[in-house]
Order: sequence, then C-alpha cells, then structure tokens
Amino acid sequence: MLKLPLKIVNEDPLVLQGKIYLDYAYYVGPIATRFFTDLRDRGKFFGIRCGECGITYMPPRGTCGRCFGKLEEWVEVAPQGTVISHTITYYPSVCHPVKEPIVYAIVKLDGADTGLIHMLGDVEPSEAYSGMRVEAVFKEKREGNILDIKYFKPLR
Amino acid sequence: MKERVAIIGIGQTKQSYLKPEVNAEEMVNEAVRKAIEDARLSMKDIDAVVSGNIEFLEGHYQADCQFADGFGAWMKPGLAIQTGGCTGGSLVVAGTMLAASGLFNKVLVIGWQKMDATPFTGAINTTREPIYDRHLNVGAAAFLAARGIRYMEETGCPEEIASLSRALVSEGASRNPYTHINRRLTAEEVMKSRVIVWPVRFYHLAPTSCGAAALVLANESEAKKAVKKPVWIKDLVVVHRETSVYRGGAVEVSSSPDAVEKAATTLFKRNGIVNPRKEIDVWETYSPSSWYDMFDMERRHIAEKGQAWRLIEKELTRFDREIPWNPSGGVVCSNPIGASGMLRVLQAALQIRGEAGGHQVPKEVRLAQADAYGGTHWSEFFLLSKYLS
Amino acid sequence: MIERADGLRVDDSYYYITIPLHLEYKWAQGHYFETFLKGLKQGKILINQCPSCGRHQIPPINVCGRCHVEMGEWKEVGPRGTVFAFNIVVDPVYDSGIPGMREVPYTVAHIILDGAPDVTIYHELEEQDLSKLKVGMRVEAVFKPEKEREGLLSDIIYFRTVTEPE
Ligand SMILES: [Zn+2]
Ligand SMILES: [Zn+2]
Repeated sequence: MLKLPLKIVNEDPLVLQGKIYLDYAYYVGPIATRFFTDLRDRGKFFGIRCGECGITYMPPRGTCGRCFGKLEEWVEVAPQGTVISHTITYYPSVCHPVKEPIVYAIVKLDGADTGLIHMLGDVEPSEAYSGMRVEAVFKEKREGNILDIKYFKPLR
Repeated sequence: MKERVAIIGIGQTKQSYLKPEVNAEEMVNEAVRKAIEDARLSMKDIDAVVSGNIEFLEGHYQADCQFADGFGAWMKPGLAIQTGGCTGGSLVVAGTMLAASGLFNKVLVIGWQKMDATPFTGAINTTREPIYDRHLNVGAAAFLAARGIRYMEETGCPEEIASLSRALVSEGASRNPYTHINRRLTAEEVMKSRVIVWPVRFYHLAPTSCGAAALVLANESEAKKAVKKPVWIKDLVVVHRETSVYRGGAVEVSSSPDAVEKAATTLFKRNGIVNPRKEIDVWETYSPSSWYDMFDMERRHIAEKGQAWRLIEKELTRFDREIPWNPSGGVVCSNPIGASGMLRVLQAALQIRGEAGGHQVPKEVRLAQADAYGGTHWSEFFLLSKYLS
Repeated sequence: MIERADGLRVDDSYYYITIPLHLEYKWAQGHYFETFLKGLKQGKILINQCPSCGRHQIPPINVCGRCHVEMGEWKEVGPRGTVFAFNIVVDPVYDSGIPGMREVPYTVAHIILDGAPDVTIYHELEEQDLSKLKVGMRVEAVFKPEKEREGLLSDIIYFRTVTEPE
C-alpha cells in the first residue's frame, strides 16, 4: 500500500511539501583528527606551515594550494587573535548553532596567516569591529569539533 | 575536434567500501599526485582543472569551493560537473573539449566519490521526482531488476547467466589491485548471494565505494612531447534522454530509441567500425549490474538482439578470451560513482598502454571502447586508440 | 564498526563527525500535474496526449518531449491495465521523507493502462507472492474511499490482480 509523506500546503496552484532527512558521517582524515584532538584534549590550536610559501594555515590542511607541497610542519598558534572581518545575523534559522543575534567573525590567530571563521561572544554586536583583539573561550565539556570553541571574547 | 586530445597522465586510489583514514580532499589528492607524477609534470604545468562527483551522496554541496588546495586547482581556471552516475564520463568529455578548443594545453580531470559518508538509499532516492515516484523507494536496484526480468522473458536467458557473467568479470577483478571487490567468485557463489530485488542478487549489483581517479589530458602538440606514449581519445559521443521511470524513461514500452544504443551506433559508424566484436580490442563499460551485461553487449552490437547471453554461456567475455568485457572488473566490482565513468576510460587507457597489470588482456590493444551512463541518462561513449591515425 | 538504523556502517575506530541534513521543500506542481492529481481525487486517471505524434505522457506535462508542441487533449485511461515489468522490494529501505524505514516487502510495477499503450504508470501491486506475478498479468487500480482521497498518487492504494475471460 502506497503511503506518501507529503503535505498539501497550497491548493491553487497546487504546492506539496516533503522532507529530506539524512544523516551523513564524515571521516575527518589525519590532519583534522590531530587538530580536533589537540583542541579537545589540550585546549590548544595547531596550524600547519608551508616552508616554501612561508604560510601557516589555520585550520590546518594536507596540501598547500600555492605550491602543491605536502604539509607536515605543525606549529602551535595562540588562542588570541585579531578580527579580520565580522557580521551580525538577526534572522532566525534552525541551522544556527546559537540564538540570534550572532556575531560571526573571521579571526586570524596570532602565529597563523589564514583566518578561522567563528563567532564572537561577551560583546555587544554593535561594539564589534575589525582589528579587535580577541581570545578563544572553550566549552566546558569538549567533544572534538569546531564548536568546542564557544566563541571568541574581546581581550581587555 | 580542432585539436586531437590524448591521455598523458593516469592516477587512481585503491577503491574500497570505507576510507576512514582520509577525508575526501586527501583521498582526491592521492589520485591527483599520482596522475601528475605519471605524466612527469608538476602542478605548474596544468592549465585547467575539471572536477566532479555526485554532491548529494556526500551531503556536501559544491565541495570544489573548499577543496581547491588538495585538487591542485588553486588560482586555476576550470569547472565542476555533476551528471549523476555519468559524472565520470561527463568529466572526460569536458576535459577533452577544453583541451581540443585550443584554449588550454593540459587539463587535469578529477572524478571522486566518498560514499562512506552516505546513507545511500535515502540519499539516492532524492534523485527521484518527489511527488510521483520517490516514495516507491526502490533505489537503483529496481530498474536493473525490471530490465533483467524482461530480458529473461524476451530471450529465454536462464537466471544463472547473470551470475556467470559476474564470475567472469571477477577473473579480471581479482588481478586488479585497485578495485573494491577483488574476490574471485564462481557462478554458484554468486547465485548463493542474497536477493536484493529479485532477480538481482548482492553480487550482481555495483557496490558503494570510495575512490578517486585523475587524468591529465593534453592537446596534440603537447601530447607528442609526453614522456609516456599518449593514449588518443579518437572520438566521443554524448546522447541524452529523459530519466528513469519518470514519464516512461528506462522501462518505456517502446524503449527505442535507446540512448546507449544510439551513442554506440553513432560512435562506430563515424569511425568506420563495421564489426565491433572483432574490431574493438577491449570493452570497459558502465554496466551497473550483471543483469545489464547481456543488454549492454547487444546495445553495442557485439551480439544480435537476444543472443548476448550465449556469448556469456560460452565464457567468451572473460578478460583473456575473445571479447574482453570489463577486464578491470567493471562497475559491479567497484563503484565510487563520481569516479566510475572515468575509471572506465582510465582502465581502457591502461590496456592500450599495456600497463593494466594482472588483468592486461593477452593481445595488442589498438582500439578500446569505454563509456559512462546512468540514472540521469546521459550516455557518454569514448573510442580510445593507440595510434593517432 | 557500528551499523546505523538507516543502513550506514561506520568504522568508529577512526575520527568522524555526524552531520544531519534535515531539509523541508515545497514543490509547486504546475497545471498539468495538478490536473492529473485532481483527477485521482475524483477516482479518474487523467493523462494527456500529443496532438502531433499521438504519444501519451504519465505524468502529464505541458509539452511533448519528442515534438515540443503543447499538449492539448485530456483523456481518461485505465483503471485496468497490463503489467509490463515488476519487482519485489525485500531489503529494508530508509525513506528520507518519512523519515524512517519503509515496511517491506512491497511490489512495484510498471503498468500499461488500457487506453495508453505506449506508456506505463509506476505504482504498487497488491500481490506480493513472486510465483503469482507475471509480466502481462491484468490488474486494476484500487482507489481509496472518496472522502479519504487527498489528490495525491496514494489515492490509488495499489493495483489488484483481476481475472478476465480470454
Ligand atoms: Zn606552499
Ligand atoms: Zn509529440
């Protein structure tokens, strides 16, 4: 017997609503395994450096896009950094990790050459600015993913 | 084509059910490095990068946005392609056209799929039209089964033939270190595997695999300078028609004109091939189930309609016999979908080079036919040749 | 190794992250599809026919895919028909739209409806016994009671086997 999990949401013109609910599982690979393990177990940030191009990548990756070199040189970078750019999200969405308003920011950690995208906290949205000095605040119970960082707070 | 195009670099990863030791970008990187190395080039020599996979199977859309570093695409021109099961074929078509256009000398083509992330049947059913046929939820196997049932009814082919065909390709697969299921199987073992959708059994069906393939394509003048002997893409044909069951499609009452048959016929006619069975030295086809082997041989004019099962019965389709049918093991042995179509071209090229290894066919391979087709019903047919003219 | 309810097997000795992709879509049906679905609500299978080549389309759309002319005529077909191809689904299937597992077994079939010999409708059969299923067997659409119909393909519960004099 055919059952259809569809809902008529408009009669004329006819519009039907349906779901796609899928749960994917991603193996993060050796580089990200080390990055997330250090974040979770030691509360430390490790980037990876390309000696050829003189760039320290954060988050780390296995290949330098510029020279196509294989990257192996791990370097610790500071939990403090500088806001490169930011934006404020007011609209609600089921996809958002926390309640709005959310201050999203690209943070360049001290010692890294590329920016990490995350959120700012302990700050009035209107008071955030590019060039602001910030520091990572960790979750109490860390699980080994990017939300182990609760947010970056202003360095006072 | 304005410029002739050849394959000058080949790279592939081992294909397997899981690849938990790497992420998708790292997996692709392995194939890319191998292809560049095989062509004795560096990434600086590549003028454009074409990549593709089926996005919904990753649950990660537009992965090419994030993976430029590992793909070697950083600051290079190129494009990304998704045509479902035919993606691998479309990639080679696009790469060939870029190189043939005269705009790019050397093009890197990448096909990949990491299906260890995928809740497969749920994900592939999202390709079905949402109101009419999605919730019949039969996955890919049902179309193959319907075709198998009709083939038996129309030709008198016994059920065991599909299992024998699977056993025959396993002879090549067991000698191919890169393929996913490289177990040698007897027809009896295949017949004993469990029924998924009758008459399709577990071993009749393409597995879900992880893997990546990469090719370096070059135009004529560059190809002639290549370190290894180039494998020429002599011709290619693309044909499209509507998808699957929707509006009749795959199991239409009158399945004529059939897109695959049209592509094969055009390819052979245009290249003066009168007797494909005799003139083509190796076949690497997209046949996604052993139940499609007979049908696919007939659509490629290897046998008259309704007669292909007799070639399998006589075991002529083993990799070392008269009709080397999927000597690599084919899609039923390994199916990282976004790479599968490319692996057909890649395997045909290895055969022409004489570098296939254990499953190298025991004769000079001058002409090989490779193709990709799938649920999206793009059919891409390639004729590969050892000699330019 | 762990096996999830949706069939995905995960090697948990490696580091992995599970990410849900839960989305809801709204699909506009268009006039032709809507006419087909509203026909089902009245217990009729309405399809259209190409004025140029005579070809039928199930489900209907506005143009003929062969001649690219506008489809004009509506036509009631069925409810009886002939099985063209069938298969039985025996492996449990995860349906992302429920979301959950679809009950098995069930039989799906392509059916040539009386009045439209060049095209099939894709639906389920009541019969689940393989030995009783045959290509060429005669079947008939079984509609839901009128007040339970919604204007969806599921207004046809399934096709049941009918015996007809030769
Ligand atoms: Zn570098
Ligand atoms: Zn027409």
